[in-house]
Amino acid sequence: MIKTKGLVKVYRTDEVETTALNEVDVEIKQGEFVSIMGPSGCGKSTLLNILGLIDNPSGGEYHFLDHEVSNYSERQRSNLRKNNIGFIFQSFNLIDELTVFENVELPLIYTKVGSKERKERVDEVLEKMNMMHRRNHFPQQLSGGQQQRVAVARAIVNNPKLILADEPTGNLDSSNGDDVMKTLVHLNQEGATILMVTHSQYCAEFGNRIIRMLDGQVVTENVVQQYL
Amino acid sequence: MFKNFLKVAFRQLRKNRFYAIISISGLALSIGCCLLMLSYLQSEWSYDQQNHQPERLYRVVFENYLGQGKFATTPLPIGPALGQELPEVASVTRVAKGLTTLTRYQDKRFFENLAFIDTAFAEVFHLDFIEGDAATALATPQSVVISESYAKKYFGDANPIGKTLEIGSSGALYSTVSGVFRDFPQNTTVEFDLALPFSTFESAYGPAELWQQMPGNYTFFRLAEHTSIEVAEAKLTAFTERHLADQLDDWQQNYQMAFQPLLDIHLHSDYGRESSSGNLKTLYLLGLIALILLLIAGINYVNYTTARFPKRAKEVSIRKIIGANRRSLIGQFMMETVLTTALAGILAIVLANLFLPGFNLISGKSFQAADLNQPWFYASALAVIMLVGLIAGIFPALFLSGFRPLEAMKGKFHQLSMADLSRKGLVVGQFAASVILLVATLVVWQQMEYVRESIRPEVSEQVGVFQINGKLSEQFPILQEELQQVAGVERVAGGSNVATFTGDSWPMQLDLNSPKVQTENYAVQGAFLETMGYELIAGRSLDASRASDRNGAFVINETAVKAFDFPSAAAAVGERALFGSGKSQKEGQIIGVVKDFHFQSFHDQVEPAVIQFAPFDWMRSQFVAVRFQSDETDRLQTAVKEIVQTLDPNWHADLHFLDEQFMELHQNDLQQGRIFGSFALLAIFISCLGLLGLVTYSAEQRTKEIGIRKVLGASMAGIFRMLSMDFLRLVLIAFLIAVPISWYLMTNWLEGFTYRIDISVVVYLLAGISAFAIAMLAVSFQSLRAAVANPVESLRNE
Ligand SMILES: Nc1ncnc2c1ncn2[C@@H]1O[C@H](COP(=O)(O)OP(=O)(O)OP(=O)(O)O)[C@@H](O)[C@H]1O
Ligand SMILES: [Mg+2]
Repeated sequence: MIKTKGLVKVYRTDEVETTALNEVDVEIKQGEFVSIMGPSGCGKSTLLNILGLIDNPSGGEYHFLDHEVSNYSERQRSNLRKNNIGFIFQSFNLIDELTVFENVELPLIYTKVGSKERKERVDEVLEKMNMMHRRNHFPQQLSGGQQQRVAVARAIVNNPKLILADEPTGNLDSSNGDDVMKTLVHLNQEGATILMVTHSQYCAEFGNRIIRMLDGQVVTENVVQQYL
Repeated sequence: MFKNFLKVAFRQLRKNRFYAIISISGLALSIGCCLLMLSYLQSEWSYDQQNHQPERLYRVVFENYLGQGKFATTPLPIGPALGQELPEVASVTRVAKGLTTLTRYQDKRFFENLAFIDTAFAEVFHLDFIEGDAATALATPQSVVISESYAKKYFGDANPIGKTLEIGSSGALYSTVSGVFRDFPQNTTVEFDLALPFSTFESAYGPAELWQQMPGNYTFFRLAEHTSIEVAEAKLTAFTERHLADQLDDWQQNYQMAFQPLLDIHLHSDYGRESSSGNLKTLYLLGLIALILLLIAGINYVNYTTARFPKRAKEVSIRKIIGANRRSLIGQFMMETVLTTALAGILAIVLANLFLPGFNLISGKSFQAADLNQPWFYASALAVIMLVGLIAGIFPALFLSGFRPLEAMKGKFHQLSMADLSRKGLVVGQFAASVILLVATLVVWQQMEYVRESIRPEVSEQVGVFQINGKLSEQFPILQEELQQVAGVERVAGGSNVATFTGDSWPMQLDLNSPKVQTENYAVQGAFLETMGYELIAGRSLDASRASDRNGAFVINETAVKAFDFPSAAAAVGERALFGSGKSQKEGQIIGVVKDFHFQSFHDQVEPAVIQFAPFDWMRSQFVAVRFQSDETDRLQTAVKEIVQTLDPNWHADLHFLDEQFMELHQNDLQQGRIFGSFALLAIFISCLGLLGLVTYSAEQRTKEIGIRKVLGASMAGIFRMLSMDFLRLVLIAFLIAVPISWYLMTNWLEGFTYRIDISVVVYLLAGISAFAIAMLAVSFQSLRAAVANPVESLRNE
């Protein structure tokens, strides 16, 4: 599903040049649950963003679903993105002006799903995330755990093939964190491919493979034993 | 999708209520003013359009009348002669207007706007008869046609036809109402309350046959079909030669007529004795100010949107990551703008209606709500709103939708510093405009004060003037005697003319062979110079006790001294001169020279003037001037009424004050002053709204910074200074920009006056200080709030 070759990302500011990714080769197959770990600043988020098509690499190849996307325009990436990828962020990134229901509904609007079907599907995922009772609340009226559940609901409402999560439990306590992890495992079992950045070994081990990074490079890829 | 846009747009407005109120109310105010301005422009530009084929209507004017310059008026015989001799002139009418005339029906007695017209008037102009008939109404000398509102005023609901009106001074004219016409529309050059046929004029004053006497008469004609005005104009020279060659040697240079299109009169005429009051400058000014206001409010809107960029950027990038494309984002932001401007537009229409009375006061129009709420008004409202919405909306929409999602989400957009800079630039622009308007207001006000002070140097004394009739002028000595008895009255004099009520111009020459100089004539009774406060610079004043003074003595003004080419005022004294021409000529001696005094608008050069005791028996006082102590104004008002009442129960005295009369002459300038003033206020108000928004934004942006600074020990005063200084510096820059611009503009404006002030530094100090103080108020409100807040609160906010 995902295959990169010699992926490079260089950030240029006025004077400094930071190489965030240095010749990264990764391959992720349909149905995998992969965790990415590594010290702060090693390029995890950068990698995730490029794989998630919200940023483009400075060099190298990136094949996503058999498309060579490294030179795609924002418009092309946007099209691939909205039909195939769901995002979950550490800081939830819900739109404050929209209610829970409307936030979750948004991806369906952009993929031009009819309003009746939208309602059904939103209600379905909210039910699944156990957020039905809060469907008309605004994000600020929810706790962190609840907000992240809404964010997860929004990420999966379009049934994406790939779910990307950047430290999804970073702002949550351990019990809320566990809930999110269980949901991800459940989604993986239903067929979604999941790529997650995390700092916690505990969380990483929910996945079936861990990619370790250091200074913009992949150092090891070990398979998590107990899930094999 | 659309519903979603609308919903978000509404929530955005509600959430950012403060900014929304600021930008909507600013937009509404300025759009409202724009709409009023549009109706004003519409009314001015449609002047005289109510006539049938108005482009075929012309007025006879003088490019040069007896060496005296351009005139809008014409001697009486010209109109009929043109009508008879030029086939291009289809129909012609004279419109002779003098001072307002007292008319009476039973116990109803008012001064009215009277005109003598020819029977062809209704062929030239559009006159809509409700009663009677255009062709016959003025056929007999004893007939009079009146306007609908005149009819209401005098006759109420009774049928006015056949009623007899007393017109002019006691026993002067009795005329029978033969027609009632619908009131002239507001935007018309030729208008009157009642009109008498010219046959009445001739039977009262003799045949109108003098080609070299210039009464307040305007001649209009309708150009025949299938010909052009050039053809008619080409025949003018021959026409003049036919009639004047034997009377006037220099007729070719000094008796030059021309035809002026009626539609040019209101806004483009610069002829002497113009009757129409339009002013193209005022028009452009209003248009310009409306644009400036719109700009300021537009700026506020753009500021309001860009101020929220960082916040909106997060939303935009989330939407993008989820799958929004650029077009849908632009659509969304445009929707927000359209919603805002639409709300503002509705409010603007309400405000325009609310402001109508105030606007009438400023503009001198008398619009009704009905004049405003018409299809074109709503159409233009819609157009303005769309325009503003589009312009104000497209910039933020393009900007926001163009973000790369990742950068925006991190709140890291380099363009921010640019936006910040342009935002500051906008504040500077707003305040510069406000200061310019303030300076303009102050300069106009100072110039008007200068006019007032020139007319009335002593605040404690005042000159009052009222009109009298023939009967009262015969009894002038008694009238004078009785007025002198009134407490506070210092001097009383009579005159055929007084300052501001001018228009009696006569030729004067040193001897029969020397050039004629047109001089404004003052035929006086009593101590006229002393009453008016005119200062002698050579010779002596008129003395009624000297027989020689009563029979041929002239006091002339400085300008006349120059016009006669005397080397000095003293040299003129003792010289002989001839007043008038032909049968009405009088010889006399110049006995004194008076310092130039104002009798016309300060825009115009003072003209030559002569003051003398009535040279001919028929020349009478038409005015009485009274110098009195200003604190006795009320007493004088009643005394004048009573005295006049006892001397002639049929007359009605209307006391005017000279300084006010001069103010009337400067209506246009006063009006511009009022326009500047009110728009300066509005501009400042709207700019302050914008400033308030920006300061609030900046305080919000820096909440965390402020919190940390406080925790680290910053004082409240320090925080306050930090937040306010930035903005006050902007106001200072605005002021520095406004100074040269306003200086240039207002120097230009003042150059329209022959007699004018210099712009003083005080004006700039005042404008600067007030702009600064008001800005300070707006800024400190928010800065103070941020400075006083508990640091914990600001930290928790993040
Ligand atoms: N927009 C940017 N401009 C310049 N440098 C950047 C930018 N984004 C990231 N970097 C740099 O790239 C490197 C990798 O950053 P990245 O955000 O991928 O790290 P990370 O592994 O996610 O760290 P963390 O665990 O702290 O989130 C860092 O050195 C960072 O300073
Ligand atoms: Mg990271």
